[in-house]
Amino acid sequence: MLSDREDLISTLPSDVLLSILEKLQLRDAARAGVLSQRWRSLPHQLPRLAMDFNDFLLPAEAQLHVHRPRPQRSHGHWQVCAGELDISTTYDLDDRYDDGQHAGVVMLAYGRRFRTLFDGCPAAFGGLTRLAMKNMYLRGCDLDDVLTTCTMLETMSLHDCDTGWPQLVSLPDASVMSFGHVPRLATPDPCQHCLRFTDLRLNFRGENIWVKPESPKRFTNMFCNLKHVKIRNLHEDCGLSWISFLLQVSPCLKELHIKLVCDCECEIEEDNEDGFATKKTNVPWEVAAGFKHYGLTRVTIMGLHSTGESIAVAYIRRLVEAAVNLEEIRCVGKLDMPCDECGATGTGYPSTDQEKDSLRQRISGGEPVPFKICIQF
Amino acid sequence: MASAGSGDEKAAAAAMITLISSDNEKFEVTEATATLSQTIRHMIEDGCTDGGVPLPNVTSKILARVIEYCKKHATAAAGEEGSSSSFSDAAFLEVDRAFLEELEEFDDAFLEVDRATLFDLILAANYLDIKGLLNLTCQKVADSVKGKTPEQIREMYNIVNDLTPEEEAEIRRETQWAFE
Repeated sequence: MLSDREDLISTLPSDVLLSILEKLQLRDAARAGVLSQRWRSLPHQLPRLAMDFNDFLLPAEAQLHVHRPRPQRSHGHWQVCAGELDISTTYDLDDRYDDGQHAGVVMLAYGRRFRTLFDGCPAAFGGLTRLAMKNMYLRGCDLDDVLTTCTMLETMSLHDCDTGWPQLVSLPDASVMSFGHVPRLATPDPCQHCLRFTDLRLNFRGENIWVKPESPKRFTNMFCNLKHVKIRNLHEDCGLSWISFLLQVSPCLKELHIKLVCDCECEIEEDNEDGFATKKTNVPWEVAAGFKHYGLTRVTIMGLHSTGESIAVAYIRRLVEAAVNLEEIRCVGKLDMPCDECGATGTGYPSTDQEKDSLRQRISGGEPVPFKICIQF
Repeated sequence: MASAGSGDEKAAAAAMITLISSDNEKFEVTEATATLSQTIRHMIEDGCTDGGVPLPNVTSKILARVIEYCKKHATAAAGEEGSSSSFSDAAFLEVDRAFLEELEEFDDAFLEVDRATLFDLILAANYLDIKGLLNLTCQKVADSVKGKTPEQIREMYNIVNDLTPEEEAEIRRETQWAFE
């Protein structure tokens, strides 16, 4: 038959060929560019890229997905002009592998592979508007380069990416910065550049404070536009006073949201089983006497429970004294999501009217205050 | 053909659409079947299907196959809508699975065609904008080139390499990672 010798496939419309390429793994799709002139530009027009580390690298533990919501044609180079990148490995320290050291080695390897990927396609990273990374160890300089390259970033989040502190540089227009468990987050080097993100989210998972505030000057540039701070799963034994450093370096801060870690029994049991209990260390932080913050208007403390209450109240007292323009302070016993460990949805404190009154009394210092105190249970 | 008769017949006739292939063959299909094609759906919405829908890009041979696909899948869609309430969840899931398996078998058998027909089906699905069919047929082509080298693909689909050696080297350099 004549059609057996004809190149029928190349006569299909480009959008059809693209739907075919889209169903291939990226490696196969990219290789199609070398078939003929007709095919040359097609891989660059793919509306959506889905990469799987399994095809590229070592087996079965890492996955990479790239979504490109606004496809843009490009010629000559493998280029992604706008997009979101969620990159995560399934390797998780929480899974407690037999050899703790090994986990670190594997996650370091992932970090290096990420670096290879990053170096391989800087243009693609340059177009990202969202970058989320999970379960890999990064070096501080890696993150530094990422932030310098990803100039379009609007949101960035790191979870379980142990790293030297990201030397946060020039992240224009980035509005949300969220860090999960990044325990080695060290003191940042002095920042020459101004960071303009407005939201900061830190999740401590009830463990040690890994933010080590040293000189407020180092942070001032970084947090100068910061408006909202959300801190999750803070263990009150760590003290809350270090949070004051955030106040000192972020004059525009308007809203502070702190969720204390759940005071559940299960957490303690788990620690004992493993033969160790994480020592919650405080980070001492002295605020100069007479320090005032003029921006802060709303403070929410969630997950207040009876045992650690006095520490929290002492901190709140200091906070309300510093925040002269405070409008509302909310103490909420209820949790916004159930505790990971025990599923508790609230601490049950303060429950009685007496407890509420007492709490209110101690927050206000027994005097009339110009802000609203909301106590919810 | 439906002659003017009882009201029931009229209603049934009203829900029928005539599709006309490029070689002038007429196919009567239900609206439910026809509207699997977004292109035809839009025509119906615009009220321009009176006197039949001419499809100058689709031969009768291909159109017959396309209609076969749409009929089967329109039944599937109707089945999904109609049966959900009348079964308990477990029973429904059972029926659903059996039906999906049947549909899958149908699709597999449907794809047993020569390459020229497959490409004609792709073109028709693209023109008529029938997502499921386009997906199915494109997947078949994708599966055939999966993991193949460019040389193998060229051979398989008679693609003539009209790139100069320099151009080819350049493309390989650009996407070196894909060739490693």
